Amino acid sequence: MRTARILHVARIWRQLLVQYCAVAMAYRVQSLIWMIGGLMPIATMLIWVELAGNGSIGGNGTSYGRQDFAVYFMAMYLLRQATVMWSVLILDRGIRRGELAPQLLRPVPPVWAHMAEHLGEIVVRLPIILAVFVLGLYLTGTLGSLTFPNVLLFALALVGSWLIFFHLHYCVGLLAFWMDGVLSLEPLIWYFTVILGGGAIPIDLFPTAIRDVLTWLPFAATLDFPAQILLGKIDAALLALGFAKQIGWIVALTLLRQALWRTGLRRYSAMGA
Amino acid sequence: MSAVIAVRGLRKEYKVHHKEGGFLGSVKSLVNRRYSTVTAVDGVSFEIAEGEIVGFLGPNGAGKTTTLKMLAGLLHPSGGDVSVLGFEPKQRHTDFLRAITLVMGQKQQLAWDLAAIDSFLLNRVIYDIPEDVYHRRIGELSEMLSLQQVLNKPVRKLSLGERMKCELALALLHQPKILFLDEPTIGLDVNMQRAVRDFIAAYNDRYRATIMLTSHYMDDVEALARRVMVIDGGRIAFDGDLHRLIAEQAPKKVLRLKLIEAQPAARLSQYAELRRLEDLEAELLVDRQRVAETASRLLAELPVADIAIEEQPIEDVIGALFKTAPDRKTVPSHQPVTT
Repeated sequence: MRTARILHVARIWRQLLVQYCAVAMAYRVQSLIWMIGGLMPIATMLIWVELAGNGSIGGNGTSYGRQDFAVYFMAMYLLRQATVMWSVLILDRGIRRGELAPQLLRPVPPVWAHMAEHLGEIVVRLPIILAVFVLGLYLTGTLGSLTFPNVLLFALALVGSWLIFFHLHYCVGLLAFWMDGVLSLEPLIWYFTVILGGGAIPIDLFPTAIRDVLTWLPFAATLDFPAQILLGKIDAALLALGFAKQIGWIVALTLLRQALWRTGLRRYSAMGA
Repeated sequence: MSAVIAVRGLRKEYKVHHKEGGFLGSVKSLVNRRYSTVTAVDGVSFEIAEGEIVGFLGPNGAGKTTTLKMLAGLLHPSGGDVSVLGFEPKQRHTDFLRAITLVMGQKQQLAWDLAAIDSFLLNRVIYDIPEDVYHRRIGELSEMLSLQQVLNKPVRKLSLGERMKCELALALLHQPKILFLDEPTIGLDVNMQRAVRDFIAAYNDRYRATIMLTSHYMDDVEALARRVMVIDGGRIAFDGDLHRLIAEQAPKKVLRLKLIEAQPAARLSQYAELRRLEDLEAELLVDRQRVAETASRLLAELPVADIAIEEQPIEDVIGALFKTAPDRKTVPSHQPVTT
């Protein structure tokens, strides 16, 4: 019985992914525009590489040379591209305009379809993102500096980043049950992510007191931590702590998402519902 | 016969934000937000037996759609009890969701950018429909709704009528026992409306499904529902047999005349209330008990080529009921009829 249920869920997920990959293909021009818009980390990389020159920036064992900046910001490019989220928009439309209603009638949680919609987009854009990532590392002469275990661990941390980002955006989107202007919060998440997560400046380069706070926030767990893995700058203890923080944020945000969903659904009473 | 839908004292209240128009109104609203509570459904009670088709009528904003959404588990009631197939809809139990469907004219399940068949494939997996059963049902639904040429087209390329038929077929793919249909024929041309009506009747007949239907088209209601519930201001104003509604709420009948020579309106008004006069055709509204006598007098005293006695159009009857509904005590409510 339990096996049958698991197989049924697996079939639903497969079909959802097939469907949303097809949708992403239908919107391939939009995907391309998004990818062009996502080149900011590469521009940031060029600035930092130029600033570093032939020396390094930082101190106390956290200095970054031009090669470090190249790897760090190419990792940023990959992370940002693979974690593009639009669930705030989906939920704003769904809750305020009633587009959620058809999904609520199906005997599967609507969040599955919303997750699959994002994953379908990644599947379609992944080959191009990976090609740009590898090409960027190659052109900066840093491709050879990566080690296989670090790449594997980076991939694992990327999954954690995706889950944190998804739930973070989803929780913000669910606020549409209570407020009208939830879309205005989306740029705020972006600013927090870029500034506090290491998207513009590696967390290591912040003053120590600030850095110690930032490393405990979800933003650093999603961007700076995976980039640090790829750089090979963290030891086993910090690696374990980093993954523990990721898991902690995933659990906390999942619980928050579930609580917001349950409470919000009781309020789902917009005239357009 | 046991009820598959049982509703007792159902209520739904909304908190509504009031804002004056213009810039000043926006500023005032920012500083001092004013809210009021609107009662959309106000203590509604009814039961529906298995296999019944019930027409749910009412003016815009009467509470029809809100009631259907509460029955389908989309909205949480503010008060009262609802039981659908023994489930409390707001719990959205998987078995409940597998047994019902709600078709809303404006809301769609179909994926806009894909072929319609892709949404059917997704629902096949979600509802765990075996391959052979799925193909049989697709065949049946395609035949009943003439969808053969439509299913493989992108949804965005379909006409409104084609899309509505696909929505209906998709909503019924899992063969639900309870159908909540909210304006299923809205925006369709006459032929398409008839096709959808025939399909709903055939589905009810074939699967003994219970159907609650709202529609602004009285043809839908007349063709499908023996029982109607009229809701106005969130309360049930009438619940009973459609023909009894007409008999009780329409004390007059329509005498339709074809005249040999045109007659002045004043002359025709001497016999009864003149409802319409166009050249040689006239319609008079006559008290039921005086129909035979009036018809005889008209035939004897005027150059009449043809005469027909008809019930008042149902639109007029329902319209009259809405006008009287605020005075609830004057409007009878009846026990539901079961089929």
